[in-house]
Amino acid sequence: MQLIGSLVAALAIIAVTIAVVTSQLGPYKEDTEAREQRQEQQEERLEQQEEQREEAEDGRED
Amino acid sequence: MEDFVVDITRGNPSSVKTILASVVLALAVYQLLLAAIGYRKLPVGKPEPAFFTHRASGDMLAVLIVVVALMCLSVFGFDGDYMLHMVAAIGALLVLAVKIAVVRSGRGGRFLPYLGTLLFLLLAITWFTVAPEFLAGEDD
Repeated sequence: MQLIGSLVAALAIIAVTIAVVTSQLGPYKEDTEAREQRQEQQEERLEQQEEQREEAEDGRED
Repeated sequence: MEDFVVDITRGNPSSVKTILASVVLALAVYQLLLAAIGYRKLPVGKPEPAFFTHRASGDMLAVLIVVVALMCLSVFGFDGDYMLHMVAAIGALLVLAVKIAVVRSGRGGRFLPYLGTLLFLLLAITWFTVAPEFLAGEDD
């Protein structure tokens, strides 16, 4: 009986944790954040490549 | 398994895992205090109810530890960047298994305080090697 009570309490803690985290962050927030981070990194890389290309072209013109 | 964990945590496995691991550590401190009362190292309360609560809370803690370990393994696997975290976690699971075996067999009871202390230390190392970094937002 005590073991069942402990199991139920553990499951309740897990359920409450998931509910609290989801209510604070929103569902699938980590996925969205990771995607946004990847997108930002990709944009930064593109900008850097463009700057390097422009610098190279300026160097050639001089 | 990974999809199941991601679905059940509604897409926030790292956050749920970190919060559950923090609950585990807080309960481990509580367990330590209960054991200290049970073994009369703390002069408060009575040993019998302290041991009863230690046992009941310990069963709950064992379930939480296994759930957190499964979540961690299924989502992150064995990551070489967190070697100490991995070693401490595997050690904690082994010590937990030995402790449960000793309690169930009813023999070797004199080793329980040492096993309990070792389990607490390993859980603390497991938590401190990942959770603070994540909670500080450095490991999203």
